[in-house]
Amino acid sequence: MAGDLLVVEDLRVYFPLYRSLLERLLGRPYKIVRAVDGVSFTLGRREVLAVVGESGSGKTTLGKAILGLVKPVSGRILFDGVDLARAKGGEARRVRRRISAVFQDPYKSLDPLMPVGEQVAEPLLIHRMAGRSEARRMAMEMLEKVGLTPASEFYWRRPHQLSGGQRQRVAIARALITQPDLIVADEPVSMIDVSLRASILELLESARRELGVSVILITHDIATARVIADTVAVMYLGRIVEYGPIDAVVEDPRHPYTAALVTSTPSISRRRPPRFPVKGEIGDPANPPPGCRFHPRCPLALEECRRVEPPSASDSGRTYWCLNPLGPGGLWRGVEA
Amino acid sequence: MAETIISVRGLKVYYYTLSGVVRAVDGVDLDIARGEWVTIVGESGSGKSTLALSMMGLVLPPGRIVGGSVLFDGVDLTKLSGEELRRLRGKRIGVIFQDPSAYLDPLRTVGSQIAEAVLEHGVASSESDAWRIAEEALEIVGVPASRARAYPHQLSGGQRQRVAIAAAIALNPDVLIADEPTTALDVVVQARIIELLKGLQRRRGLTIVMVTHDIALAGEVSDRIAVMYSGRVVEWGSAERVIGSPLHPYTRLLIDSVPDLWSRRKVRSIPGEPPDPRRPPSGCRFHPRCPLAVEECRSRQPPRVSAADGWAECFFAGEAGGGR
Amino acid sequence: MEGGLFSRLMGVVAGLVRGPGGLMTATGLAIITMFALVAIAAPWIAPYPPDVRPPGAGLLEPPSLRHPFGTNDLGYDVFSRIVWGARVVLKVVLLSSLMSMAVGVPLGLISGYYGGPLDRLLSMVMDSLYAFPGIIMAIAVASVLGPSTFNAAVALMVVYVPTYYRMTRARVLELKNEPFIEALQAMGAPGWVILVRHILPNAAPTILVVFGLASADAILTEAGLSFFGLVAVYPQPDWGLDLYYGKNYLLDGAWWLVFFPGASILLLALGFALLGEGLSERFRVRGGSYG
Ligand SMILES: Nc1ncnc2c1ncn2[C@@H]1O[C@H](COP(=O)(O)OP(=O)(O)OP(=O)(O)O)[C@@H](O)[C@H]1O
Ligand SMILES: Nc1ncnc2c1ncn2[C@@H]1O[C@H](COP(=O)(O)OP(=O)(O)OP(=O)(O)O)[C@@H](O)[C@H]1O
Ligand SMILES: [Mg+2]
Ligand SMILES: [Mg+2]
Repeated sequence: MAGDLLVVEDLRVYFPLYRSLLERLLGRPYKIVRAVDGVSFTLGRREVLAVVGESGSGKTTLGKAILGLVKPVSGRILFDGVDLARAKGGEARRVRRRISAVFQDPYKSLDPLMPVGEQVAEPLLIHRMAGRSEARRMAMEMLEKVGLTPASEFYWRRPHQLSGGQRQRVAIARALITQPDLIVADEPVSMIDVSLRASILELLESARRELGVSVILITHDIATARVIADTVAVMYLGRIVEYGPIDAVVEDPRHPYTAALVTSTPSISRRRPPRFPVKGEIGDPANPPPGCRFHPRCPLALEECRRVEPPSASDSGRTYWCLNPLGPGGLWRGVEA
Repeated sequence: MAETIISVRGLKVYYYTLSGVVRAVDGVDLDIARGEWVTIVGESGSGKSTLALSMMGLVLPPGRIVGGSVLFDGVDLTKLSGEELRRLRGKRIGVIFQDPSAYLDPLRTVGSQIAEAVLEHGVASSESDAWRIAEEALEIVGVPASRARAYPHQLSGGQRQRVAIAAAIALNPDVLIADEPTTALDVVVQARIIELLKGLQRRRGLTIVMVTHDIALAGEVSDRIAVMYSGRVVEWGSAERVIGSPLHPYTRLLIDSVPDLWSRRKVRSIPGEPPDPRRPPSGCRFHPRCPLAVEECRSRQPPRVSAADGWAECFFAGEAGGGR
Repeated sequence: MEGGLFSRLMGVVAGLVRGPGGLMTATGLAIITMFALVAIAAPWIAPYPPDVRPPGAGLLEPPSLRHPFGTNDLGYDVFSRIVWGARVVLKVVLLSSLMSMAVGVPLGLISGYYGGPLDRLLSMVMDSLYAFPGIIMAIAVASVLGPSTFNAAVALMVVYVPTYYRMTRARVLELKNEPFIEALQAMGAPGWVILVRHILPNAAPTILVVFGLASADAILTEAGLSFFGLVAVYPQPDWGLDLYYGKNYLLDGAWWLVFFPGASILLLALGFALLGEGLSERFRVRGGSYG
């Protein structure tokens, strides 16, 4: 679609797996981890897309591919119509500065030696968007905006003089200062004190509201995702298994893994569906099962799920990849284990 | 109420560090009944782990118990020798941690590690008995007995945590202390581990003391909840009551700050930052962040206000302001 | 900004001296400073010229009030020779350390950060240089270049470049995996910005430690060079050279001819070694990211 900010088409990112010396001597072939294995989606302007899924399902790798930190083996990433893999020189730099990142660990994602204000100003200098004094002034303003006041004092602090929540605010200020169109936020709250997480989410939300940025929010916690996301992509072993408006996907999922995910999430709400039972431990992306990758754990698996890769299907706005999906309202009726 | 198995009285555990004295646990009283599931919740650094581990007499240096007592089945753990404590642990009180790899020996099969503990504590008399008990324990936690000959690295994170639980329950303890047992696990795996623990509690009458920062998880599984803030238990009561009508403003704000998947209420962070445990605020330690705070909160430690099934340490606990 | 350069420098020093390993750092700095002051103030400290026999001085006089370190076979005052000799050794060692750093650190940064064929080539060259015994290589290079302080410094530089290179490269490999570097890459920062503004400052403590330890080693190697006459020419004052000529009189009981130059060499080397060890203690304790 013309209006979409980001289009990801059949993206694949593989990593070679470490082989022991013995395995090498025996001439065993390279094993590969199919961290992201055929992912497609589109992201609109001002849209917040949550990417949720099991540990090791490839969420972080997907984010890194969009940020240009890992190289896909195939597939395309179109940002505002520009193919990120093909863009060169000036065009590449112009596109790159419209994409920012916020990482999980606020203790490690800032340079320990540099005053935090300088780090917020740095993207402006890197992209030659402002001179030194102008950059400093804008960084002060941005620190103010993310709630680090008085900014003139925070500007000169080093990361170790800030709390985890404050550091994450610095990271967000740094991400916003170039006025990007897209922020990729990988687990931005999972290392923050629970009582402070909401304010970090609120910062991202207001960036969307006031600055019109789109956000890809990578998280393992679908409850966090539901706070600010419009759409959700549920990943399992390198693939998206269900995709759609987050309310629809959470309340009335089609894919059994989504059902397991939402019903396993702890909740103190009275109104909640019964637990959807799954077997086994988490999947291994180095040895994905044939057919539907979820079939060994799925209580609804059919014989053909072992052989056939499920095609995509759509149902009232959501897309899912499953041969034997839950019906409408199926989540609330429960399943016999 | 059932018989009390652990009774904590006026407990103070301080860490003597180079940068000052950390009052990790600073005057805590709790009574834990046999067979119940108690969860300690609170923010990072509030002293949850320190409190839970001191319930089995485990205080790591530079920490010291500087006051109070911990009665386990009537015996004061703070007065026992290291050897007596060691025998008590494992045999009567088991423990599991967030990262099971930290105490599983990577070079030995998981079965032999469990069997060894079983022999050492005299639960079995022969090696073959011990091995049989180890295999049974693994079956109970849902690890096939054939996996007893696997090395830790051959198991997934969830399976390793199951092995850790198996090692703890093989000795048939009365109490299991679980410090963030599922924090490192995926939610779907977490749900199954929690179900497993719940089953053990029901079927064997195991007493469980769990530590977590996830108040929704606490609300789901526990019988009673202790809410910690800056070294003190500020609220104590049945899970239903603590979650449903919290007495302490901190509890209420904490619940309101975490998103819940099934209710679309707005989440709001608690203003301010958690206090520095080396310099806790005067009076009520929550007062700098509390919307209800008055002058008195600054200067005086609030009294313990009792409710039907517990209490809260707040001047306003009895009034509408504290509840919902 | 806050205060002058001097007071800021003193602030840094005070910080180093107070932290862990501070006693070692402080002792090392004190020893080095003492020798540096002696070298700078040599004309005022030395009671006699180093290469002239003072009037009334005997040959091979044992230490006395007039000649605290005695006199040598030509009647020169040993104390004055030690004082002037400090200039030579400090000049050679500091010059060589700075040159090794100037070559080894940038190569280590580039090699570690960019990797690839250049990294493999450089690593191979440096490893083979490193495998040579330092003193033999220094002698080989210095003999080719001929005796002079500058040539000696160049010879020492060749010996210690691989040390700076390897340590810098190792630290860069560590830092390269830190999320804050990844964050910079994600924002499209060019390699040189990341290297100069972020990796170099974070690698600086490691480089300082190497500076201390490698300089300590370089002092011993320098002594070897000057022992073989590859730094200075007699009668220029030079510790290693004095050691060489002094050893001939050891059997005659003139112990002071070797003791004072030898002790000076060891003490100065100890100063640098303590500085290096103290710093490494200090920075290790503060953890990987020095946060
Ligand atoms: N640089 C790498 N080299 C080799 N394998 C990798 C690399 N990065 C990731 N992987 C593997 O790719 C798979 C997907 O990893 P990824 O980090 O994307 O998962 P994730 O969904 O973010 O998981 P988590 O929730 O644990 O963060 C994992 O099996 C991981 O081990
Ligand atoms: N071994 C130790 N040495 C010094 N201080 C310690 C030690 N262990 C804990 N502390 C301090 O004691 C306080 C309470 O720590 P504790 O681990 O009990 O908290 P917690 O509530 O379990 O936190 P978390 O959720 O992060 O695990 C913290 O401020 C912590 O820094
Ligand atoms: Mg991840
Ligand atoms: Mg803890």
